[in-house]
Amino acid sequence: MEFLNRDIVSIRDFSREELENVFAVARGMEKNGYDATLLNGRRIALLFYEPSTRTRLSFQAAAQSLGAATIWFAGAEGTSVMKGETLKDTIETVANYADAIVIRHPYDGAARWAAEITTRRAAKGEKKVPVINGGDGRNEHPTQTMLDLYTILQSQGRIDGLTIAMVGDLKYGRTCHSLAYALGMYSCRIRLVAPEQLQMPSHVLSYLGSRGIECTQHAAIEEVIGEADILYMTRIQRERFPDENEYNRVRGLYRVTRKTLQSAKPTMRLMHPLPRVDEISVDVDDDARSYYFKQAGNGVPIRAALLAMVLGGIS
Amino acid sequence: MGASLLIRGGTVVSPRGMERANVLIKGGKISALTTLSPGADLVIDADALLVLPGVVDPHVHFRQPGMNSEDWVSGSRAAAAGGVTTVLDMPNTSPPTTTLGRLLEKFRLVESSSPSVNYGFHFGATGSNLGELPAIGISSAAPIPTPPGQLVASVKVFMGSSTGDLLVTDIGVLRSFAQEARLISVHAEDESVIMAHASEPDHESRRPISAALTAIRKLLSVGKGGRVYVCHVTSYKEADLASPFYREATPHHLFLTSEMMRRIGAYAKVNPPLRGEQERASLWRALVEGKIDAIGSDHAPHSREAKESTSPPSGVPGVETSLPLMVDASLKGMIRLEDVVRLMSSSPARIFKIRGKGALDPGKDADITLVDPKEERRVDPDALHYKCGWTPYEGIALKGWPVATVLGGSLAYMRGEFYPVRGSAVTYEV
Repeated sequence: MEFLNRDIVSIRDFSREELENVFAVARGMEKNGYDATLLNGRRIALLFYEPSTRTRLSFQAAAQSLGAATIWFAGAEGTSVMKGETLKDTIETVANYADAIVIRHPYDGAARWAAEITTRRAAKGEKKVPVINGGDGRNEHPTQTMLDLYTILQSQGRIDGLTIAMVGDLKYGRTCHSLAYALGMYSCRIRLVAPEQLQMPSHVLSYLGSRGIECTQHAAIEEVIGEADILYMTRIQRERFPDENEYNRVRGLYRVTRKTLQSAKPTMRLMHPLPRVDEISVDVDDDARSYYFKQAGNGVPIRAALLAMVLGGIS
Repeated sequence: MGASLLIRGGTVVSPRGMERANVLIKGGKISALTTLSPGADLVIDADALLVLPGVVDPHVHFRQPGMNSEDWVSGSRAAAAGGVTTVLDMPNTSPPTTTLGRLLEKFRLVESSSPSVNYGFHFGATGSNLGELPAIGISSAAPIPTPPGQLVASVKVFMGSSTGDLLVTDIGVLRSFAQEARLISVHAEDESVIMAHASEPDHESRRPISAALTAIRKLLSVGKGGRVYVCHVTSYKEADLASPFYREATPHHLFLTSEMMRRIGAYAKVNPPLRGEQERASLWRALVEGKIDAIGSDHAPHSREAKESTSPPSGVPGVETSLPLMVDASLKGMIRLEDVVRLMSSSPARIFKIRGKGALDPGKDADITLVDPKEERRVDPDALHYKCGWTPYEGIALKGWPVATVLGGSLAYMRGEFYPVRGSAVTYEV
């Protein structure tokens, strides 16, 4: 499918070939530098109904490196209870100001809804304003998944054949669900490390099974650290536990320290979508295997590649 | 009934707008909306709360008589806790509500349950019970307002998906009901299209949107505008095609997609099926463009055992979550609160001509829902009141929950507590 004017709503709208196309463009940009004239005169609206430092700043940085201007707002105040304008009216309005819309919103399905509105607008003769999902509710955050895959590829040179361990809140963590779905397009091994009550939902497991992915569940990082090529850490939230003691016990178990890394391969790479609390102790930051800040940095080339493909017709 | 009640300091929401006002209630009716603070026997402090006309849910299956996945005590409590003050119950019970005698039996059964909300019934059409219509007072020619006749909101016609004699596939029979009844409510999925897709691999493709479109086209050939209510449309296409008619959307088609079948399996099996993200977005478009007239929960609970059996039945519970879902969506900017009130209270009352409901105007029944727009919590099946004990929305965080429900001027529910108030049968302006 053509990328020009395409809405980027769900990672599941993309084939492996299409994703690799995005990665190739991103890689080219990292290698050869950004063409600061590519999107000259284009304007990108960033509608952030929820705060998100990395996603917004990296979209902004990506837009600027290609010469596009950004207009934006950020904050929960966009959803004023009594006097708030509907999301439809905001999108209809902003579509007149911008060539593309990046949206982050608390409503599950808000990005699809915004895309529906701009598509409808295009059917009435206006220009199509593509919508890029910057995270909608618990639903989807496709550019995060793309940058995660890109990071794995970048750090290991491949995804096929790797052993990828995900650790933490696998039950509720949107990042891990999307990543698992995307990894289903590759032939890798997946290790799922979580307390029993936070293990991966069965629908994801049966999907991975249907893709023939070798996938096992574990209670401790130590069980997988020796074989992992990627250790993908996520945060465990306090609210998931009925009492403080249980939370503290679990939190201590799912933590990476220098000691944890002693049994890891030298080529293993440690990832985390950030922000971290204390799942990765700070003294690990200097270890050569720590890759999470580089991962966060990859938000720029991936998002720049998408903007270039969606707005600039690059492929 | 005699006592007066003042709901003080809330924001009153109507389809016309929102205003800070105190609501004075006397003799079970709205007496005045005022900025003054008149004396009253009881005062409810509604500061920072939204004051809505009670939700009229025109589409519930409370399963009695004959089925045990819900009853009128549990169902009506769930309704009251969800901000619903009137429900219209569907006829596909066991036995189905297809004769005057069975209608009266159901009426007595509901009365003896002391329901926590007001209620009315839909009457079931079969291939042979057209002759019952005058007796139940739903005939357009002779709308006899005898007491039994007052119990019927519409004649429900199943064009597909039902069993036994409730299924109406004959176009002649459909035409007769469309002509004879004041209002027909239609499950518009065409049986022949469903049959033609019987060998498809999954529930969604066994009942494609084309089944609904075919059924609506048939209705267009026999039905009149204002006399047909199309239940649970799932997409913009259906809503647009059914433009001459009243159109209902359900919360599950607005908030869930076929992805749920992968997540929770047969618990998400429902007729018409949940559709993809694209159709779901198109249904929202129909909603905000005014192509949906009412929201009905299609509350259709089944036990866990039934849902986990080898041939799981279709239907999901929803009467207690429909308002919280819509308020949450509204607070997130998906739809104006005024429109939520129109779709969930004013319009259903108007479409089914229910006397005294759907507005907080002086003289109307004092059926009122108080919503706290700041209350945020996750949907927890243990905190809901369904007999089936599950919900497809488990774990979803929603903001804006009903905190109190007033029925005929008396407190029926407040923050987890039910009060001994009894709902009564609604009547119709015919």
